[in-house]
Amino acid sequence: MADEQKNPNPVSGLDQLIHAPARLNIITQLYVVESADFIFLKNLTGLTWGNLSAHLSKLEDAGYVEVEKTIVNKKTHSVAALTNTGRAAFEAYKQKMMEVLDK
Amino acid sequence: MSTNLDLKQTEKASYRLAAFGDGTADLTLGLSYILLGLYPISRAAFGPLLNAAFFLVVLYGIVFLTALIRKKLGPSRIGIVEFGDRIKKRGRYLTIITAILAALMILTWFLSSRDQFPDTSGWLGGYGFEFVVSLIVLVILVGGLAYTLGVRRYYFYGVLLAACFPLQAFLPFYEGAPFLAAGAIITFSGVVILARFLKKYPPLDEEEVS
Repeated sequence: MADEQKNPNPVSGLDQLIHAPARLNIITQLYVVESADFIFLKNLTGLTWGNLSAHLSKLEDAGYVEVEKTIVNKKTHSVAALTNTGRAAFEAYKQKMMEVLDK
Repeated sequence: MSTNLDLKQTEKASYRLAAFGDGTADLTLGLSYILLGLYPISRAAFGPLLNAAFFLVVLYGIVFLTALIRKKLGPSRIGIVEFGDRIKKRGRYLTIITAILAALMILTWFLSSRDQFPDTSGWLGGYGFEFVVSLIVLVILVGGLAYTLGVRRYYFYGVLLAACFPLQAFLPFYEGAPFLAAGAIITFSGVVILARFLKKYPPLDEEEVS
């Protein structure tokens, strides 16, 4: 009750890094798999290479996502996976979101 | 771009794209039906025991060929994905169930070849117990796939398969005809899905974005 009075907008309590639609899309896709390469993520999210890379970088900087780059046939192949921190953050986000929607 | 928070549906959608998006699973099923449709001819030509071996060799050939097509097309067009424990566990269950059912099929074929079953020609049109078991096995697998993964066209395939059995018993001409027809329909469906897949997912090279 006291929290609500201090912070009347419950959405502001959500993890804004995850809350952005493109990043939420990426993190949701990664949450249901163990790992996925950039091509798979691009196909499922519908993002451009630039957008995908930029959003993944932000998630990587926050420690939510791990990206492993390898060279296959002289081409870069990147595989992304959620870290334990990222998984926990997404679960907390999901919980918070359900609380917000239930109010 | 839609944000989908239904995690089970997201997981299923990922799996559907990875496992069924390219139509090779449909091709495997369709070609297997066609093989089943040729069963009476090959049985007459090779005899029961050799026919069972022939059937298995060709079946594995079909599976190998379609797996090869998938391996050639998948990674460059839809990418590579590793699924989590839940899906892996389901995959293991499916493999175990498939192995048990396949062993049951082979056992019935073997027993049938040794004339261990009573004559069922009166209601099966001359093709005995092994045929019934094979059909039950395929219906369970196809129905199970349709239900657990939400691949709706597999319900249609299941209906086609189920319809083949009474049809082959009552058709006055070649008994394998319903299976050949069903196999042709499913193979055609697989070819259409594969063509759409090739159009929708061109080969991609990961772009370096700094």
